[in-house]
Amino acid sequence: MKPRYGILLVSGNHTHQENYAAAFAADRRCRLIAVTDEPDIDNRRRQLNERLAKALNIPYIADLKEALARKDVHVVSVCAPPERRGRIIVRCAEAGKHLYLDKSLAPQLGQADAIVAAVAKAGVRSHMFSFISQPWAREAKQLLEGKRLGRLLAVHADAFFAKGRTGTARLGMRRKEEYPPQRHQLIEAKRELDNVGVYPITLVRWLTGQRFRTVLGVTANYFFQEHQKHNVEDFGLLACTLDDGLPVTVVAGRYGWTTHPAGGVNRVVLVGSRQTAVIDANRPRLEVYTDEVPWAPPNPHPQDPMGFWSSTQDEVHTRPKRTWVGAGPAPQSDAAYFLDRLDAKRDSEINAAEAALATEVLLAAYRSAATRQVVTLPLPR
Amino acid sequence: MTTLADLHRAVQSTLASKRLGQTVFVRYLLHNQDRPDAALPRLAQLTAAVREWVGQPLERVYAVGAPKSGQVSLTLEFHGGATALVSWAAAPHRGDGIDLTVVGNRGALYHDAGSARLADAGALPPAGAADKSLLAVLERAVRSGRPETLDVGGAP
Repeated sequence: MKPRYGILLVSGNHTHQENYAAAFAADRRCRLIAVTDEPDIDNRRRQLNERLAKALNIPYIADLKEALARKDVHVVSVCAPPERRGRIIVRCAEAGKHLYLDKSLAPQLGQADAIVAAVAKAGVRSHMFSFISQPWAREAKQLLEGKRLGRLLAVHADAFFAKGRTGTARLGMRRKEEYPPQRHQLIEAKRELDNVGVYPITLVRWLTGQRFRTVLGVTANYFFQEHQKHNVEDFGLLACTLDDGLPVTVVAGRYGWTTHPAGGVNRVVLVGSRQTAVIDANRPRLEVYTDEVPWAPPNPHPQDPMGFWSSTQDEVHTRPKRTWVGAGPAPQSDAAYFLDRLDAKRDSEINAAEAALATEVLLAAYRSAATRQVVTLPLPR
Repeated sequence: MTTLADLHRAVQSTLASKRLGQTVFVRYLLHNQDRPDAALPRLAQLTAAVREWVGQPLERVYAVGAPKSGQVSLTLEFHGGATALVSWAAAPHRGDGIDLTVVGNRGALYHDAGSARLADAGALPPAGAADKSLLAVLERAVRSGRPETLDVGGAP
């Protein structure tokens, strides 16, 4: 099969591009063209970009404009740090390229709105990384569409990442949140409500088809001194209502390598008038106990103590957790889902406009956490 | 057979062992066939248990949903910064209808009852057992639809 999609990668190592590039490279419909970025990035970012290009055996094009001018680029996978993401996505859309977007879409409402407008104007297709292509998420969707639960009474969605060495945060005080939130992604810490919470928020919107109407948000520093030092939260919760009044609660965060037998909690509880369904990414599963040496956390990588990136975890020889073994259908990659939609000339279910709705919910949660008030959506422009 | 009190005792003794470190967050979902007028006494019972596990005075309560609609979710914020989501739903369920996660700063416990049922699943807290001041706060939160702040110097 001749590859029909040329893939351009914006930003390289120490971003999720490490994973996205691997997923595109594994798909026979694709050919990786180059790694690129804005021309004025700092030396560290440039070296990390060049490192991924070298690992993939593709060129590094130092000027995004030059890379976007290439006719053999059809899709751009954008993993630039959140603060630069908005303007880069707009430029890629204006260049007429389809967009594969890291989560969350952008940290500011104005940036998210600009992306949605640019995508609509250019008529390109877009997709933000999410869980919706996972078999367990599809199962939840089928349950709701089949009306087997009766009237939906509530949705509770949780996502925790079991990474990082926990137990180092100073406890005993309430976090003072800022709005709008600054500093989304640092070497040692990320805003975990944004980073992890985007998944359950996107999932609830996708499952119910409803928009969020009210949001009470709380953020906290429960686990890591790294997050506390940089004044970014490691935990967040939302208590919401949707447009039809449906109550929704969401919990998200990063809570440490040893707090969960696998990668972390990832589940949604659909409370129906006839039946309650617990859809869990970790079920069905096998539980395997042997005389192998028990799993232990890796030594912290100085450039990635929280275990954000695949390359750094390889460098510190992180062993996979093997007690729980998934026993459900093999998941399709999120990249393959987007390529399927391109093939079918259909928009993604999590296109830029949908992703922007999640951004707005996240911002409402930060605003609520900062003001200690319930916030009503849509947010003022 | 196991009762709700047995479960709460098991949680309390695990927390007392300090294996989880300090409790920072509790997620407690209860599904049962309570009548709507039993919802708030039931939630007061669960909130009192959570407050004991957290070991901090309750500072703020926010409620979404209503007993008549068959679902109430409470957001609890405690004086030392811990939080909890405690939900009740009048809905059919599998097993004991309890979905419980307690997160500490060094670990977590996850309750999985499988298909086991509680002996007292349908039994309400004994009359007068609910903490009256706590119940009043929950009633206020459900009625107002706003976060209700408590005076942490006093009860509850």
